[in-house]
Amino acid sequence: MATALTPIAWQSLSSATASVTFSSIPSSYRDLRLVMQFGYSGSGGTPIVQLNGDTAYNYNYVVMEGNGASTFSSTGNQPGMTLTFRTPPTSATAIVTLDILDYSATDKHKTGLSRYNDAAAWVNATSNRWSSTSAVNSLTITFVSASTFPTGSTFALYGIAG
Amino acid sequence: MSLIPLGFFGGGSSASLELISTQVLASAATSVTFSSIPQTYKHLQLRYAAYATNVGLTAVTINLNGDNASNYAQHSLDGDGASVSSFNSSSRINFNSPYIYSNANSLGAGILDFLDYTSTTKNKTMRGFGGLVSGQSHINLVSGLWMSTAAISSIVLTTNGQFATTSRFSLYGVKG
Repeated sequence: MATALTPIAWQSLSSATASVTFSSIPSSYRDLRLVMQFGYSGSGGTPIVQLNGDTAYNYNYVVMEGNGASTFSSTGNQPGMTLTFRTPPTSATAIVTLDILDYSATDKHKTGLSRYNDAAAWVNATSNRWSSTSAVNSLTITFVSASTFPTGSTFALYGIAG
Repeated sequence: MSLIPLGFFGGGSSASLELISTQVLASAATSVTFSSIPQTYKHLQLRYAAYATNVGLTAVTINLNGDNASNYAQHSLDGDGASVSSFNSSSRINFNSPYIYSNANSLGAGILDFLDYTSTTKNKTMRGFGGLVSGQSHINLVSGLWMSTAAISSIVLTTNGQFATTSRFSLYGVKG
């Protein structure tokens, strides 16, 4: 039986970069999985994932976080699928997995489930909804405010058949 | 490629994921069943994107091998946009996986892992991750225990009301 998990593309940063884009994503899978190891440098550390170049506040989120001393949950809108509201480390040691389910469907809004781990700070789980029925054909990983991903950050995109 | 893509926490880099079956509902249904599950994998992963009809916010409940007796236990952690709460329950007749809601634009998504599902010497453990946003907003981490050493051969998902048309459920095998 063929594997259902297929690498689509992989990027490793050789210099600090403000955004990373995966474009021309095949529509032949059921779900997408983005796996990132990253950090940040700049003025604002909220990493987001924008779909199909949509930079408007069309993304709803609900987040749950804990840091060993307290817990936190909030909901709202962002200009991309939110991965965490906590400032990532300055080195590329934070880990995120983001699953976007039914990404190629044209009759559904898109749901993204993400997990963020920064061993020095918060552990996080987030659910996101993109208010669009368009099939997802590109992802851009960036920050809400001007910031950059440091050298050594890695980004891997997988397709999951189904 | 060195990153580890399997499971929501990650898995072995040499493991692979194979599709066993996908069901996309052409009409509303009160339950979804995966039966005759192959016994050739190490773990199972169930992924769904669904919403409900005839009900508001509801959990997706799971029974294994047709067992409806009080052989299940559960812990969960839930964020609702205002606070985080924790829940536990034992001697249950099923366990809950993350919520779905009666809004076509607010799909509830869930990713569940059933570990060592073919073992005949261990009780079975499920871990799950899911959420939905709009109308209702919840993000959940759940763990479930089925107190049986039987290998898992079938999974039945039910909900209050019905699963709506276009709801999707996929079952995968994870090689060990």
